[in-house]
Amino acid sequence: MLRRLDYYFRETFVGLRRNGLVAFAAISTAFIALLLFGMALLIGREFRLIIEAATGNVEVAVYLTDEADDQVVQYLTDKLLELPVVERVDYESKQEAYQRFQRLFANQRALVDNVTPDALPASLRVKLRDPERFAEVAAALGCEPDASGRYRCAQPGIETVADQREFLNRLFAVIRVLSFGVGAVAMIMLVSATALIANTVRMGLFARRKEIGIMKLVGATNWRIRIPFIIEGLVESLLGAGGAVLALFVGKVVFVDRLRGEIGFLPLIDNGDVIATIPWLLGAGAVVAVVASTIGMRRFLDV
Amino acid sequence: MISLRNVTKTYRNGVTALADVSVEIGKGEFVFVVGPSGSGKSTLIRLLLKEEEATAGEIYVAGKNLAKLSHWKIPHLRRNLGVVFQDFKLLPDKTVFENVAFALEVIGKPKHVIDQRVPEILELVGLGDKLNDYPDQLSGGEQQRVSLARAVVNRPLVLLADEPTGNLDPATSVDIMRLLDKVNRIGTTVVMATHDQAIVDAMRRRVLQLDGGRVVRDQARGVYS
Repeated sequence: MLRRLDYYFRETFVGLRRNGLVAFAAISTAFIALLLFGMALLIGREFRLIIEAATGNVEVAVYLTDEADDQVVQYLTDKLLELPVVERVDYESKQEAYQRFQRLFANQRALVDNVTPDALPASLRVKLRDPERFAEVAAALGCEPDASGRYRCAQPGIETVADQREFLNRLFAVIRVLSFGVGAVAMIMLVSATALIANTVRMGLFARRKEIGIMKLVGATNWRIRIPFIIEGLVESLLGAGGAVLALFVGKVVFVDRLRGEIGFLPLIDNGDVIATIPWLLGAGAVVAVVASTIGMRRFLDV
Repeated sequence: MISLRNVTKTYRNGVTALADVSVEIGKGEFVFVVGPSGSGKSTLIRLLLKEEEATAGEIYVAGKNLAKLSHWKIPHLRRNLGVVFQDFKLLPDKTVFENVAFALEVIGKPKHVIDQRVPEILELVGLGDKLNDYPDQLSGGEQQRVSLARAVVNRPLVLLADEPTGNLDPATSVDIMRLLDKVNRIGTTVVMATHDQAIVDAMRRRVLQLDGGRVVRDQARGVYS
């Protein structure tokens, strides 16, 4: 077994050395593709972090009037919990709302200084099982949108209800486009990386066709012949993946960490988030390699 | 050991290389296949290796019906067959030792077997002192001996030789024939396609003459023509 592994790796290494420049092109394309793929993953992660911080993962906010006392709050909470679509309801007092406001705008002192805790409404923060079903909540509370789109409610004690998702969707449309764009470019690059690695595998096969012919004559199995080429593709794409992981860490330190503290409320991805992308990058790299080797060897090795 | 029954081979371009050939070759026989270029000698060897499929008829090699042999079992068939070609087919960037060892390595033989058998077989073909030479440092006869060593190092049941002396001068050819004879005497069935009249006449072995894809003569202890 050891002897066999030794054979495979020796053959792989010979192959890599033989067409060094082509292998280098394949490795760098794999690197760029996987780097972009990793960036798309991290942008998506950042997107989710921001949503979480801005809304506490709450889809509906029921803003209360100042007259709403504990009894009204209790009544409304029970009423909301009766709805099957509602997962949980949390009460946020004026004081808590003020604290969140302070956090959100920590770097805009003027704004914070001009607002007193009393100016912000208390609210019920509602988490839905299905975020699409906001209308059911509004209807249950007897709220209807007026001409300006603001909800007016029949239920006493409620100022208005707001579908936070709608607000967020607008706010993060840009990030979504960015994330999608990077993802799309990453896909294109992954396809090119596959093509280039397939090409190195094919060139390797061509350079060694005499050897392969002899291997077939003396009774080497097809897998015996194929495996070194698959490993070659795998090594190329995993080197690219390794480089991409490294570059993501460097990018995080250079760009993201510099932002830390600049924008107070903005939560930022940390090392854990970068580490979480590693299995994805390695997995994508492995898939690229296997697909590429299969394409590269197709119809070349039939006995 | 080898049995062809009404074998016909027509290539895709319409050329019929073998037509209704029936031959039985027993274990341990030495058979010359003679005939002009294009008479079907090489096709016969390619069929035995299952590099090509017969268009009609049945071929048995070492007890196996080649038509029914599934694709993934072909390597195992070939491990029972040694092959030698006119152009030696040695790898120029490997030494004599490595060229022979390669044949064992790629079928997964352990290192201790390789280290024992390769020098042994190279000694047998008279190249015991050239293990570390490269093919381009050897004469044609020596290269063919390496190629022969590679073909028999795995102790095949059958040795197929396609014009093994085609590129060699008469004296060197005799050396190669002595080795083939030696290989035959230890029990290996030898099938040799050749143009070399002098050799066939000198050896007085079974001769199978092909012409236009048909067997026109099958003679024990025969001569070239």
